[in-house]
Amino acid sequence: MSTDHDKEKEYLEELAPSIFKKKIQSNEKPPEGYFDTLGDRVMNRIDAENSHRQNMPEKKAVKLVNWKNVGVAAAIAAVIATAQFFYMYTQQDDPVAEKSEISIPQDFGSTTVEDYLSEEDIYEAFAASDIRAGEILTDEEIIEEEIIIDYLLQEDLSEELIIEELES
Amino acid sequence: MLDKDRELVERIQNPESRNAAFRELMSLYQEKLYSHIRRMVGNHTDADDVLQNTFVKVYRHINKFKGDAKLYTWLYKIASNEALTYLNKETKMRSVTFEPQHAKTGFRPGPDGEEIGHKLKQAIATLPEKQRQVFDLKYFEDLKYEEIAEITGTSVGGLKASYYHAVKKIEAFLTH
Repeated sequence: MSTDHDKEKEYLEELAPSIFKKKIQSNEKPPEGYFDTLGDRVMNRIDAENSHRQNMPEKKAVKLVNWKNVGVAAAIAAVIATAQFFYMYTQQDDPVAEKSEISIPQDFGSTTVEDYLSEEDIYEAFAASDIRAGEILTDEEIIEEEIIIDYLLQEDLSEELIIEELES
Repeated sequence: MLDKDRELVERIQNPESRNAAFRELMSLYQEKLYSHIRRMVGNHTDADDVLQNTFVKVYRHINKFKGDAKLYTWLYKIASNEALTYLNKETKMRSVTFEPQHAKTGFRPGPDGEEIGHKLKQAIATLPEKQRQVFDLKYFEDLKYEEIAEITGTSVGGLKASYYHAVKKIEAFLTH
């Protein structure tokens, strides 16, 4: 009765007769005397590596978190936060601050602005701005313009002419 | 693990007898490991480097060897890994230098003289590294599939497939 080993042998002999009909022996020989010195060379390498390791400076363990520094930083942050809180608190209650020049009254409106600014300042502000003359029209002026347009339309003038007239 | 291997490992693990016992281990296994490595890497100079690295690694890690596996399969495992690491490094830099055709083949002459041995060496060189490793351990070292599985960390089924593939390729190389 053939075993698995025999079956495999038969299979391999069929698969690759060149190397299984007669097994080829390998005999990789190193140079003469190689093994006589191998042991010494390996031990020398081990000794050299050992002494190299011993001579290497000991690695310092680096702490990822230095809790002392974290404590100091937390204390400083707490002092700054407390100071800021007290500063803001005292600013709110300070009666002088309420009356200061920069305090803004709650009922602040356009009339108040006019009270504060002179007429000359307002003109200067308009002159400095990009607002073109004619864009700011009083109510009377707006009404006048509408009357003119109606009139022109009644006169059967073309729309293009009216637009042209208005733009000129 | 065999009793004599266990006793040898215990002596290596003992600092007092370590070096002497380790030399004993080297002289016991150096020739077998050398042949395996040499067939893997293809030339003596590189085989020497890899064999030295193997023994240095064995020395460093012998304390971790618990004796679950056989000593020689553990040694073959380290030697194989070292050879594969070397081959990977080499293939990144240049192709592996197998000794030239006119060099001594290292195969014992069969009925057809050295020719078949030389051709077999060339055929092995064409195999992928893993197949080369499996073919070597099975064909030349005559290890059992279970032992090779321990060395390579591959299943027995996978190993057989790999071995048959390698054999087929070698036969095709030799007959064409």
